[in-house]
Amino acid sequence: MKPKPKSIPEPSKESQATASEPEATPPEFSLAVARIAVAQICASVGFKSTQLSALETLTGVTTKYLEAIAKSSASFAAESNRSQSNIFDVTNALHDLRSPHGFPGASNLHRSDHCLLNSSVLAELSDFVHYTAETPFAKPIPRRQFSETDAGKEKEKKNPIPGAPHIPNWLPGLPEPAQCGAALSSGRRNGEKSWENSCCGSEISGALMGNGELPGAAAAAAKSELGTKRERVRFKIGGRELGVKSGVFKGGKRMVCWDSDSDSDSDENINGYKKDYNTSVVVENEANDHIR
Amino acid sequence: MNQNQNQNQNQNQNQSQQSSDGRHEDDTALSEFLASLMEYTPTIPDELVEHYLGKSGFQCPDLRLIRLVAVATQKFVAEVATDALQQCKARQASIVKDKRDKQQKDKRLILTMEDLSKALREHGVNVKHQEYFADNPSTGMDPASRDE
Repeated sequence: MKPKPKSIPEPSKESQATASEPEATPPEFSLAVARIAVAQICASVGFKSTQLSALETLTGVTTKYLEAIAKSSASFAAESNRSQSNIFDVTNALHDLRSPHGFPGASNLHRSDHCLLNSSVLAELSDFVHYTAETPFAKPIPRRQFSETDAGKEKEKKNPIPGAPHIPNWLPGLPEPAQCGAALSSGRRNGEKSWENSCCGSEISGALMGNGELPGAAAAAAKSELGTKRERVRFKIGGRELGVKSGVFKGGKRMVCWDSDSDSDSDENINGYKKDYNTSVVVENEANDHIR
Repeated sequence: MNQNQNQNQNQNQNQSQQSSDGRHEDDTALSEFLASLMEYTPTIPDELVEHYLGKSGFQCPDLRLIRLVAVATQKFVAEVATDALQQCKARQASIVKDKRDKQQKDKRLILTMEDLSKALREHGVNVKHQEYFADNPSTGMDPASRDE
């Protein structure tokens, strides 16, 4: 006997929650507007009062009818490779929705010489407009003006660069050109230093080894500039893609060649690599700036 | 041969002109109807129609089409309501025959779930509704007290 009273209240709470949820959601406003409109139509037909449940049902059917027209005509438009619907799509949708009730001329719809525009449904609508007294909605509905203006402002904000359509709108804007140039130049300088220190310049490398400050400072500067940690730098040399560790530092065959020959050609090669590396780093910086 | 061909061409042109004239009349009637929609204010407000149309993926910048959809929906609702009103009147007429005294009280036209479900069934909408006792205040009462 005990579990029964416990089990009974729980479903009632759940049902109350589910019943109260749709009232709390934003569609309540549109449903309320639709309810008023439907009530006005019922009053214009001749009803004096209504049951609340009947009005709710008719409102629900009305909104479903609107959505059915929209879905049907949108699918007709999509079938014709259009994104915007026109009068033909709406007429077809009205035919579909009218077909259970039936309308004159429905049997000729499949004929090839049938003109959609002189359909009887449109003629009935025209008669309805002509013969029905106009009952405008009770109150003017305020449009949401701020949404359009805000959207326009955001668009203006988010597209500061006219020549960069490839950047998505949701990304934050680029930094100002002056800052961007300073960051790029400083990054290039740092990159050159670190590259020279690590590979070629024996003196600077020795000094660096003695100090031990510069790499850390450069790393800190890079961190402060980039803000994100880059794991690995890849760049292309002569169509081959090399990782920094595998190709240069840890020494494949090329590294061995440089040590043994130490020619001017190899130096030029190294400089070439340097340039490539630097440009790749710059590109990475730009990419990071874009992302930021 | 040339004359025959010319005659045939003329006939074809006449036929095409006639058909185009017929279509032209339809077009003018339709365009007049659509133009009259700009001055007609449907009971269902444009904002509501735009909301539901946009929600379902309908895109059209033309206000006349939105008005057309609004008018179509209004016509549908009006038809359903008219059918329900006829059901209501018929039901009341049958009741009135039995009890002439209650004629004045029951003359009120109320949109009830019963009439609405009958009217909607004609339009292909099957409405299943729970009959609540609270819908009718006299449902739970004793028949004796109801008569009083």
